[in-house]
Amino acid sequence: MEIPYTVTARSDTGLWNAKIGIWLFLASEVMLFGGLFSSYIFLRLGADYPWPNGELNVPLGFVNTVILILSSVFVVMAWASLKMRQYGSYLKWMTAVVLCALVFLVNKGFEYYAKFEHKTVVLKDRSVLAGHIPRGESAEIRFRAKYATVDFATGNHRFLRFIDNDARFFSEKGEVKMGRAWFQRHRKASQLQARADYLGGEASRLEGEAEAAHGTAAEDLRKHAEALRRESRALAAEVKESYPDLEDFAGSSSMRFELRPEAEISVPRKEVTAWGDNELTFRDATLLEGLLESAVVKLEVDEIDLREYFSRSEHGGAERDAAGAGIFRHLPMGVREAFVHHREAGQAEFEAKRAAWERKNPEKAFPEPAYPAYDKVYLDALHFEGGGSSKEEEKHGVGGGADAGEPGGEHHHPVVTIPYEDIRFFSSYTPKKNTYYAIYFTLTGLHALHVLGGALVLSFFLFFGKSLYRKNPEHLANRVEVGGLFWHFVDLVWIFLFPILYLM
Amino acid sequence: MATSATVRHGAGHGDAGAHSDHGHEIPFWKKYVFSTDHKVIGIQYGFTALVFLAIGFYLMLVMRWSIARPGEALPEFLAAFLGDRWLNPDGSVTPDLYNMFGAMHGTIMVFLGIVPLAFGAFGNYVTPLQIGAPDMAFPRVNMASYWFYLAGGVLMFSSFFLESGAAQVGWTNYSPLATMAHTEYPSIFWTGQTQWLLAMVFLISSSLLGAVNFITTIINLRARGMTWMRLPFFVWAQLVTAFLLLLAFPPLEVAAIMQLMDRMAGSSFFVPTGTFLKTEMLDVSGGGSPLLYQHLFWFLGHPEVYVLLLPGIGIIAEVVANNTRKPIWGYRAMVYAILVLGFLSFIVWAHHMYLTGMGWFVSAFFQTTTVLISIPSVILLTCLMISLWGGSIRFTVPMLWATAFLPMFGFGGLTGLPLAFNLTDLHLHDTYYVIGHFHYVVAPGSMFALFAGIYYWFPNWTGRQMNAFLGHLHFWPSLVAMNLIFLPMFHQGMAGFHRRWYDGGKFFEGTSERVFLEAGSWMSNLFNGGAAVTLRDLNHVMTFGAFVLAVGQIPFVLNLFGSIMWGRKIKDDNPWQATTLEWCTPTPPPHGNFASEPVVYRDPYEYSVPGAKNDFSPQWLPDEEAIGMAGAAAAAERPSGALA
Repeated sequence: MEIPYTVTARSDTGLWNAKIGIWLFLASEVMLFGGLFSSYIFLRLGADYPWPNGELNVPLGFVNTVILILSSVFVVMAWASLKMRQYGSYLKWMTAVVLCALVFLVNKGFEYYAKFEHKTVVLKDRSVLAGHIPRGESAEIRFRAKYATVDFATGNHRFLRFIDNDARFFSEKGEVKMGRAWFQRHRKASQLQARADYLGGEASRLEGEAEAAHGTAAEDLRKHAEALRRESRALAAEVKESYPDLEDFAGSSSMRFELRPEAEISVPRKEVTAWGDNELTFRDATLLEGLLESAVVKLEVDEIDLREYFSRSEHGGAERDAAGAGIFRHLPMGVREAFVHHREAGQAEFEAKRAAWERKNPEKAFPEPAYPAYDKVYLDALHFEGGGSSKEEEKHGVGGGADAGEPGGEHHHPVVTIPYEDIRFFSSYTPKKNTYYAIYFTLTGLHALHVLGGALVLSFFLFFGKSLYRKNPEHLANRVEVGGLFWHFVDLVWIFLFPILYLM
Repeated sequence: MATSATVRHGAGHGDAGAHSDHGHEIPFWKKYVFSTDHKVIGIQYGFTALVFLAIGFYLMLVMRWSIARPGEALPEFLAAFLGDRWLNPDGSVTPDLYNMFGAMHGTIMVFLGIVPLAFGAFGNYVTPLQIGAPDMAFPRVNMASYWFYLAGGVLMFSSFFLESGAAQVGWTNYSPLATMAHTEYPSIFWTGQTQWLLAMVFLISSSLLGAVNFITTIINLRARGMTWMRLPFFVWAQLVTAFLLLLAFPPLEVAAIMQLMDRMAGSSFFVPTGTFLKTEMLDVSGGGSPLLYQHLFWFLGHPEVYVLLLPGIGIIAEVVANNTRKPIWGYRAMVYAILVLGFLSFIVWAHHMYLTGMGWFVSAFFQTTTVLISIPSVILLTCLMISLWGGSIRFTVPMLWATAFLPMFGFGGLTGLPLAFNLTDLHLHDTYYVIGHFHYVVAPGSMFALFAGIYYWFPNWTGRQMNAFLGHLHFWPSLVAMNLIFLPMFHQGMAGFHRRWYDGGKFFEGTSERVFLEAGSWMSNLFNGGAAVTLRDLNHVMTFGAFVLAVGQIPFVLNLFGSIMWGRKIKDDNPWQATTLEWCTPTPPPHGNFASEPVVYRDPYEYSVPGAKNDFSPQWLPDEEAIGMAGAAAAAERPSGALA
């Protein structure tokens, strides 16, 4: 018996199999994106920071919306051409669909790239700077290591990723081939040693009991203790024999090595839990001793955001003075004055608006914004004196003095150097930045994967549809219909994504 | 004899089997490994799931040993599978090992054991046969579904051998603990915690493909005359299960993807502002919500409970009808009940979260829906109970499991009521009471139903019967052992035993050393030589039960493999004298199942029709053949489905 209703519809349900299948699949897709949209609402309502607004490239997003809607029309045209048995016209329309998908993905790639390059720094007082890292600079912590103390209780060899392969580790007994294999051998030796110690202890305990016992009972205990002792000695001998280099420190909880030559280490902030002038602790609990060379972020600043600085109650709330924000220590002369001026103007404008609103609605309370917009400013919009080296900057040893001499409008994007000890949080405009970018990348990334998947399936129909068309044109039309339904769904998801991520 | 009619019919199919005659052209690997035949895929699912059930069972034995005898060396036969890495120097179980096995026991049993066996194996094998379809609607999708499952399973299992070991934070994988676990390892990607998420994505994709396939098959591939109300109840159960999988799994996929982002891309979906790990403030933005993870997880998690259960109830309905020799009582009521149950199961999820502080209004809502869902559950159970009434019951091996299922499942259901109520749940949450409750539903509940199904459909697959003596030897120890394991949990749970104590309460003497049986009472005289029995001593009873259960499965394994080779051959294609369509095919059914499309003439459980020449009237026989001319006339006047 063959499987029925693969091409023609069943009379009582009026459907062929794949059509039911795709609608069911789309139902589960609705639940998938529904889960993400629900998460978006959940995260947005629960956000304890100003939810980003208008930070995405709206024109590009709009172009992508138009492209997807057009491609949805094209796929219908392709399907209709097949229904009318016009294969040539089908090919044209389907090519247009696939091209639309490609253009969409390329645009998306540009958008993502711009976000990956953009960085943000949150200082300890929650004032925020955004900008780009100047060419040739890096935001990693640099350290010159002389000693490494490895913690076996919680640690492992993750830190080796950041240490030069040339570096050699020396213990008191000589050189150690540090690596995954060494850690495994050490663990094995420690286990054997611990087992040997345990058995030895048990044997001593039994011998003690035998002292107190009499007759055959005492003899049995002694025999048992003897056997344990033998096993313990055998294990200890095994450690000695198989792990001669580890004999002395099998079981010790940490070990200090000397690094020869001294290792130059460059490590991202997230891999490090603590650092000082002469110490650096990795996430795997390894402690390096040596000299901290650099722990700073250099940034070509294009944005100042003090909204959280003003709203956080631990800093005194909105009464706090703009001039007190830590970022002005790092920015060139004049920016502070310009910002304060800008803010006062914005505040005045806002107060006027509030007064007008209250005159209009005397009974109601004015809806106070949690984060007034005037606390954030793009440096392009701020007029301040050029970022030449000022006395204040020299005093702090920071600032964009070196880059300030560049011609053109560069003074709007001063380069500042911020030490990590002032930084609360550093990130690109990636999922790490905040939950908005997390959900943005997850939603659009998953959507882009759907576009890619749909484009692959439709390309398959485009390039390999001919033989099926010759055999049974209706079958190919059905397949394109199913693919088209999926394509419409992908389009529809974007139509929801565009407003909630770009506009709202 | 009616059987002669069946034989004639069956033989006719066998001779004309369109596929069997070119069966030899298909190479072995295509026929049995990369097969698109729903029956072979069902068997593949079945054996893979049994292997995973055995693995999950082993994990449980190790845990139970640690609970009853904390600090004592594991016996050699359990320790043999473990490296020294996870054991203390004295050979006892480390807390890390206990946590790992606890998390993986739940994961493996639920996602790799019971669901694939109930839905993948039985659903695949039986559903197309019962509706008279040649195969599933999308055979290649069906194959992909199995291979996705296997890939997910292998991925999940191999995470035990990673440097970090497998996931350790419970089968629910709650954030932010799950986000931070294992992040100190050299590669966060190659840790058990991350691999758990990846494996889940595979398993979810597998269920998704399966669900689409099942629903399409049931809607579009029913044989002529197989109207909705003539569907065997098992098919209804599979249909509802498929819908649950289709709609409930995607939110978990979302949760898995988001947790993967949190671990790999440093996002903070589930990490709130100001989270510390030990003394270190995490280098994350914060602003996320752990509660969101719980919502997404339990939106799957609760329907998942019914995914575990409903196929089992479907199997029980088949077995009960067949062995009581009368129609299921209240077939329509059961169909409507299972549909309502399926719907309600989507709006009860937050009763797992009463302790999160989500607010009294939300709690009250979910308390109400949870109490509501007990109504359809009770309808199902009551109908099956009443079906026993007045039947001439054959206590075959499948029926033994089915009759044990009813009270055991009832026990699990009734003990769930105190958990449904906010107030009592605050006391019982995360105690052994909860463990007892859901294991009664799933272990002596679902598992017993699945055993019933294996014994019931085995002849259809192999043409041989399983040995009844070994079947009894499997059933009785299992029944006793299950109760030995799970009954004491209620006592311990109500006293406050927490579910994640790796030492069985040794370090919580105030709770665990309270007296359960007074010294000198008749019970303690009988069981403990007159000495008092504390609540912690019950651990020994439960662990003893677990080992009895392990021994009790040996006859089953012998029986299963032995009967394939040496089982008694069945003389008739319909050995149980059943009425549903899977018994009208040749045995075993060839690729394509039916020689010609079968036609369905009657309701699924027409047993003991008055005036009929036999006590069963198969769905595939017209009235003249099944009932005889006189009976046919009577049948024409009789309201459909009623027992006159």
